[in-house]
Amino acid sequence: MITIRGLKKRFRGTDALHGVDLDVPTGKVTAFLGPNGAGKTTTIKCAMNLLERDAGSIEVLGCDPRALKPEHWQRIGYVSENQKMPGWMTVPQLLDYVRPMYGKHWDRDFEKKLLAEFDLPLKTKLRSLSRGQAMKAALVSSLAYRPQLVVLDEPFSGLDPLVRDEFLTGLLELTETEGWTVWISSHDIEEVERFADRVAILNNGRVDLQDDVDAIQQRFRAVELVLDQEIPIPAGLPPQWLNFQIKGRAARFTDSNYDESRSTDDCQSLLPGVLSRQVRPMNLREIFVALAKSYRGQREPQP
Amino acid sequence: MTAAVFRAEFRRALPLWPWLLACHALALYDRVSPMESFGRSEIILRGFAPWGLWSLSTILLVGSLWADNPSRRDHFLASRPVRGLALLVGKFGALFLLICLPFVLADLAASVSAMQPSQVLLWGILQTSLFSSVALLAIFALTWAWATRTTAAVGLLLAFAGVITVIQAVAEFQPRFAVPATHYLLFAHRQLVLLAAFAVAGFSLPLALGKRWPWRRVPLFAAACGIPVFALLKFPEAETIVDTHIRPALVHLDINLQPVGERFEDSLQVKVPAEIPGAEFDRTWSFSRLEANGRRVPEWYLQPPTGPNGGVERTPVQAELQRHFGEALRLTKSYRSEHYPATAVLPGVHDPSRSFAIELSVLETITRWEVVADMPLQPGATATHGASRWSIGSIQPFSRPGGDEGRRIRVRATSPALWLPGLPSEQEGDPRYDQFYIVDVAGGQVRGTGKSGIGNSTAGRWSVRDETKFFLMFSREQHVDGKTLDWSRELRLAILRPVVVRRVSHDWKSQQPIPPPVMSEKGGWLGQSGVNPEVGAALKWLDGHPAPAADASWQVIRAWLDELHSRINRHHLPDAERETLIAAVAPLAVGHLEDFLRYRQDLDSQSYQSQQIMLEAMVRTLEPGVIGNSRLLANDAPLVNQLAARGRLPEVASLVADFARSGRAWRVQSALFADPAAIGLTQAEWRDFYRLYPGPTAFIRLSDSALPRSLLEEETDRIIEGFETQPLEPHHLGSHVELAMARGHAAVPAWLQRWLANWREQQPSPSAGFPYHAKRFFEFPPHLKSDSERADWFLEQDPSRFVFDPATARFHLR
Repeated sequence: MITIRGLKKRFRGTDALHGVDLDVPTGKVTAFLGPNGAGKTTTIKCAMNLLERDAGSIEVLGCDPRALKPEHWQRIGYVSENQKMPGWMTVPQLLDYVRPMYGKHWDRDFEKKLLAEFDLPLKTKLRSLSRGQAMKAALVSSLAYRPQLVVLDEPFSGLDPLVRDEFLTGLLELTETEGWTVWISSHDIEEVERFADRVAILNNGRVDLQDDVDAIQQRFRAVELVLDQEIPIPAGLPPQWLNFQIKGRAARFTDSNYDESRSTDDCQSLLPGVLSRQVRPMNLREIFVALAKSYRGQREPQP
Repeated sequence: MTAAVFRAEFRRALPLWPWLLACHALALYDRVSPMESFGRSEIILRGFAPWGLWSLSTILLVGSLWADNPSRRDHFLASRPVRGLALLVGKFGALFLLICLPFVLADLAASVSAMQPSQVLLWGILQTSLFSSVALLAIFALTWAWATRTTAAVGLLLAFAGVITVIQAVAEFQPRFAVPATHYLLFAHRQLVLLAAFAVAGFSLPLALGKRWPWRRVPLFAAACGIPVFALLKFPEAETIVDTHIRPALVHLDINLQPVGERFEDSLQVKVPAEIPGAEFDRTWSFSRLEANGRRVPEWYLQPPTGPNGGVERTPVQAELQRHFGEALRLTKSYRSEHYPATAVLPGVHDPSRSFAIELSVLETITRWEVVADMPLQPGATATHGASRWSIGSIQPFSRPGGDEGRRIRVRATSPALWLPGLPSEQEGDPRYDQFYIVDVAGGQVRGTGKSGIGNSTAGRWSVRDETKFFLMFSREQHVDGKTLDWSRELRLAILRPVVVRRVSHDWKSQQPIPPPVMSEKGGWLGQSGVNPEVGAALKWLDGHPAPAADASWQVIRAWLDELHSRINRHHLPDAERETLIAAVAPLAVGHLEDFLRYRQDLDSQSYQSQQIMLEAMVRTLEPGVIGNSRLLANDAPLVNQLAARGRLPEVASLVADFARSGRAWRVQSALFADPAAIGLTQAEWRDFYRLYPGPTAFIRLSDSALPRSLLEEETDRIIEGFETQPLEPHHLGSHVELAMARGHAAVPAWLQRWLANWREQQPSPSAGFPYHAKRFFEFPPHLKSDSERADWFLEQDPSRFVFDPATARFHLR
């Protein structure tokens, strides 16, 4: 649904994106993760033609975002925390305003259903709604026409936990029932872990990792070893071992391409004094942190 | 989608729109029902209307357009399937209905209340609609071009600078578009074309600077800038219909220094020798074109043409009032229109080394006054003339502290102000210059307002010029026959309008450089001390400080002259002292002629005695061969006049002619009159000289020497046509009477008798004598010794028995 290759963007002499490669496959929920300032919003804005890119190529619904026509926008639902909404309108007025733009694509029944589910006040102006309610209103106006592609830029930002949970539950149900392609950005990994099919992790303007959630979790393992004596870090560690540390007689690392037999063999050959070996699966957050540390280590000059 | 946008605009405007309509209602009320009293709260309330109107309209308009600006990518519409045309149509339609239509309807209502004909109403609707639509579209372009507020602020400033640059560039080829830099912000609203150019440039800048269409932006920007350039270059010059072109041989030209802050500018005044029409016409003069040193002076620097003077004492006004109301209207005092010069400021700062080559066209507009309406002076009275309407609102008694009783009269005057169907023809006259007069027909008296009165005016903003005029007229003021006006009589209000009869263009080009005006460097006579020296102080100082040798350096001489100059009393200089000082100064002029000339010219006007000493010194020392070679002498009229007076006219004749031909004959009049035949001016030049400076001396000096007497008589008769004698001071008969006496006009004895009788009637003592200036034009019996006796004798004579003898240039009894 979305293909990004070598995307670069500079702001006043500073590189924000260093060449982002990303795929958002059809029918899947792709979580776009990364810390604040990683470049998530910039990437999404470039993909939505809300920012001019400096280099690279982007395809959205099969065409360049600059060439997106009203027909394409009728198939895209974009909600961002940065969007300026017409605050003087009420929710029904907002829907009255945008409805004619979508013609036959607009589903009045679905609109009613969404309104009921989100439990939005109908007589309050948008400027007077809470942040969560305003986000829900934006979501209703962006989903009622059953878009094929839903792009959500930091939809949970600033929401309190209860609203966030309601919002997520609603979105989860909809994506499951409607079979939408969803591209959702967030800096909170644990939230998207609940429903994301696929994860792309952006760090410092680069995509460090992108794959299906199951595959990632299958690949990554946290390994802890107890040694018979304290030794220095051996040379020739396998490249998939990330963040290898030795403290006293304990050694720890993340295996980014875990295979039981190969891992056992590698441990025995490189660390002959292993007394015990513990392997456990990792959640997305742990994987992200491990990757971030690893890349930071690679970038920092060696002493 | 259009309908949804349309609805949304109404919803958006709902909180403010009723207030906007209320302001419209208040403004309309203000137009059709002007203030009777000037209460503070009423003034504030009425004054709020236009402010509220424009500010609320702007808030609604810019707020709406900015909010849904398609260039703003942070707005939710940026990621919606918006069809540009549908959004534009929906927005434009709604904003037109919300903002423009109330203006159109308010204008229509005001036109209806002014009882304008249906044709004016229709054109008014079209005109206001068109203007507001253009303005609305321009604001669309200006507002929708920018993505952020910062970009908008910077971009609009850049666009404005761009437009100014474009216009300045265009002004190189079309100087009439040149505007002084400070005027751009102040007067930008005056020109629709500027607004359009502004809009185009504003719209094109984001194309030029943005990255949305990287490859198309350069040609787009060039094309967008080209539109206003092309439009300005091709914009047709508003042509004034000129009936006749005249090439005068001489003009009156005066360049003066005009202080502007710390600097000086050169201001130019020009009079042209008008071919005098009948006394029933009024005339005004203005530059229609002016070139200085080969560059056209932009229109901004030319004084705009003014309307004719419609004072009740004007001969053309009185002629028309008498034509309309009959001979019973007694109008005894009248003046012809004054000959005001056309004026302009020459661009650039004064440069003492800059001479001028001037080429000009002065437009003379000849108008007559026409009574377009008259109505009873009663509240509720109305009058019409074509599409112009007048109605008297109220007449209230009003008296001054002196007890002079008067009336405060409110008149509402309306007339179409339509530019869409074309401006009204000049034959219909210009309602802006209408004048109002109160006439007591039976009593034969008239009172004029002079000016159009004060009041609020909507001229220029709407399709109907709607003015409420307040006149304060008093019983004793502006009387034309010495009698007070009786308000209890049946009075009428007459409205006079100037109608253009003819336009004459006077085209003239200077033949030689005109020197710049001289700025004094001495800082005034009293200098820094601020003390006027005692008489004799200069002589005392001279005893101890003899003049430097004639071959000393100019610095030494100048220092000595400065000291001497500062010791010369400015009021009185005894002859002996003068002669001594002249003798001391004269040798210094020989070796330093140019410096000496400049020094004398630099002495300011208060240094009269010093100037005279130096002038005399030069006259005594200047050798014949030097006069023609000195460039500075071409700007030294006093010296030229003095030389001519000393019998050295042949030496300076060509200089005198140069003065005259460069428009400065007025500075060398005494030299011109010394021996007109010797100057070398052509007959056409002398005729124009006489038209510029008519007077008894000119008539006498030019008669049969420079111009045939018959020609002078013909010119003089046209000048004095329509004048009547006026009850003025005994030694001030008026230039036209003196001119008539010099010419030997047959009506002079009758005028003079009437004048004398009138004068004696007004004087407490009946012994007022025969006027001094008139004595030389009459032969009296030799036994009459005093002026009083001469006056008594003169009043006893039958004026028709006096005849004029050209040989003696005197009237004598037949």
